[in-house]
Amino acid sequence: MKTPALLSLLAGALLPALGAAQDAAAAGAALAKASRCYSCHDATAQLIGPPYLAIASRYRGDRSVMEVVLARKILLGGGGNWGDVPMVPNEHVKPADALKLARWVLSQAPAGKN
Amino acid sequence: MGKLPGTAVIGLSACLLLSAAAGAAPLSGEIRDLNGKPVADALITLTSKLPGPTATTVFSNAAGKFSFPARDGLAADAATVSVRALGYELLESTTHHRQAGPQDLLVIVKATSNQNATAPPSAWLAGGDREATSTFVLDCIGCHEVPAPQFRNYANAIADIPGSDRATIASHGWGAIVKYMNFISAEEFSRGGEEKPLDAQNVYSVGNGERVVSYLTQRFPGRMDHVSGYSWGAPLAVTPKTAIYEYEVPRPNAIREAVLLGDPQQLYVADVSSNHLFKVDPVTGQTSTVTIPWKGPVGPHSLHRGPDGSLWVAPFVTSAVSHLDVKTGAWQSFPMRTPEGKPVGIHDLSAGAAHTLLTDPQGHIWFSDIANNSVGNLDPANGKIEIYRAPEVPGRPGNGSLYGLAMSSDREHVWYSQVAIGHFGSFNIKTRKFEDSVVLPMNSGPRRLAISDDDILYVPLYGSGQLIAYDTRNHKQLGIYDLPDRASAPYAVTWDPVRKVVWIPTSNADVIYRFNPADKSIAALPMPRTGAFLRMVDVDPRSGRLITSYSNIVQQVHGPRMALIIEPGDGAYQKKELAR
Repeated sequence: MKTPALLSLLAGALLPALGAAQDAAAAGAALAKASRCYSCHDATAQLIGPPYLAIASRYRGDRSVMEVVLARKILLGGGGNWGDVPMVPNEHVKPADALKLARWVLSQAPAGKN
Repeated sequence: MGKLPGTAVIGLSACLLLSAAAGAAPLSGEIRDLNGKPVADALITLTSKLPGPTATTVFSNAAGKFSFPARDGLAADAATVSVRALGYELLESTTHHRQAGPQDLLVIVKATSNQNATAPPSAWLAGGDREATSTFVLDCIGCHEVPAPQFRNYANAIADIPGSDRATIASHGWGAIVKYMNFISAEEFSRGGEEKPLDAQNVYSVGNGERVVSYLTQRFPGRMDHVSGYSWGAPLAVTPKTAIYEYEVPRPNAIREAVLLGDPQQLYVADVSSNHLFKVDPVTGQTSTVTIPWKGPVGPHSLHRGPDGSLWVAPFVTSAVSHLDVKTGAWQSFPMRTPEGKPVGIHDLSAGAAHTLLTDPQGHIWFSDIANNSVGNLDPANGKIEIYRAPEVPGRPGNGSLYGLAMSSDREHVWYSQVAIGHFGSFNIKTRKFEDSVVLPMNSGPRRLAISDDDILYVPLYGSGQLIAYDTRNHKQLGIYDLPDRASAPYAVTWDPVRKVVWIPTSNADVIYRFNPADKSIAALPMPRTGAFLRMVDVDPRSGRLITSYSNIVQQVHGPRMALIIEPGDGAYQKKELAR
């Protein structure tokens, strides 16, 4: 009986975590929409700027630092990293939201490779 | 004190504690440069949290002297001083006391060749290919000034991209920003419509995109942090009593037009991104909202004073024309559908020389219908609508975006402009036939019209920066006049029936021009801050004050969004009252 109980315990512990992750992903997507990130970026397709998947993949081993750096990039814009098109500054985004967006973008690396 | 949008680009500003002056003496002062020379024609702005306007601006005279209206009581509070003087930057503001005299303000500025912080964006469009610039202005300047500071920062970001093929890098960078702007504007203009995902591919392939990118790549290949040589280009239309009162309105908003109505008078300001208007008390600065009771989205756009002091509101979203009795607060709405059930895209309602709603002899309100390239009328007695589609103009595309509208004094004709195809003409209300047709250069951009008491039609040319005077009784053009700044993007004209002048608000030069038909002279009334995207000016029939707003309409653009009351300070309307 121990095994099912353990599984049950594990499931009980994991399910809220999974739910929280899904909530965070949905909140991130909503914030990106409200911040008009989608005018230049898509999850997987190259539009004006690189897809979120590409950004997250590039920095998957360096997330803790890149969260902070990317948040600054969201606010200030700039170029030279993904081709020759600069990113526009996003003065309408609050710094706290920029950090949330950066975390959300970097969370989109392929599963198991973070 | 909250940071006002635009303050950062006016120039350096200094905070100063203005201690209370005895009595209600006007706060006055002078402005000098570092060599002690007085600076004329400077705009001195005091921003405070006192009840009333957010900011008050006056102008320095030839001796560098200026004086703020006494009733502002600004001396009793902390205030921020900012200065807009072309070719100068603010160094210091301080107070000094004359012996046994009132407190004075001393403003010290430093001459600089770089006008990046003080010149309007149009300064960057001076010279070059006139035709190409007209086309660019018409293509590109509809939501905010260009090149705005954000635009210039982006040019610098392009310049910072490493690589030797600068033309390709510039083309890619400007191409991206045009796509971005098209996407943003499509989203902005879909506001209030059905919730549906934007078609990125469609948005990215607007017809003028490549033309705009080509212009930008050639015109702005490098950094954009220095501009010089700009002047207002005309004598200033100011006196020692000229004052500009600016009122911040709550954000988010996309404010459009403003009028002064009621007793006591209140500023009504249209917010095209909502179903409400802001109501601002000019004395206290207190703001409330007045909601149009319409079941769907409206987007209040054009405001017209009714002859009885009521308010008529034309919508941005195809919905309903609304009427407000400002005394009782009662609304009445008129659904706008063609007899065939198609939506009507109203731009203007018929106005006469007093810039007040004018009906035809049958009581019908005429309107321009930009969606159907038509003129039409609404019978407010029964809500019936008629639509008359404009004839094709030979050699021009079919949909001309029928835009501005004005009614002749005999109420037998409405005159209309077609901004997209360089054309204006007339429609005979009696015969229901289109009559006059005046073809202009394609990229001239005739926008919102005005007609004088003697039926001279004034047509602002947004693209080419000119003004046309056209005698509608004799069907002949009296003149075409270059504005001092050809990239100023004159959005509208308003006839001033007491001063007998034409006011010309501009969207890209932070200025209202004043044209005097008697001597064909032009004067300039500059605004205190950059980003002052002006659309319509109304002249308050009681006081002769000018009512307008800064109406930047894309949320990403951090330009000012304020309603304005401008006291020209010429005493014209007071003299009119005395003469009665």
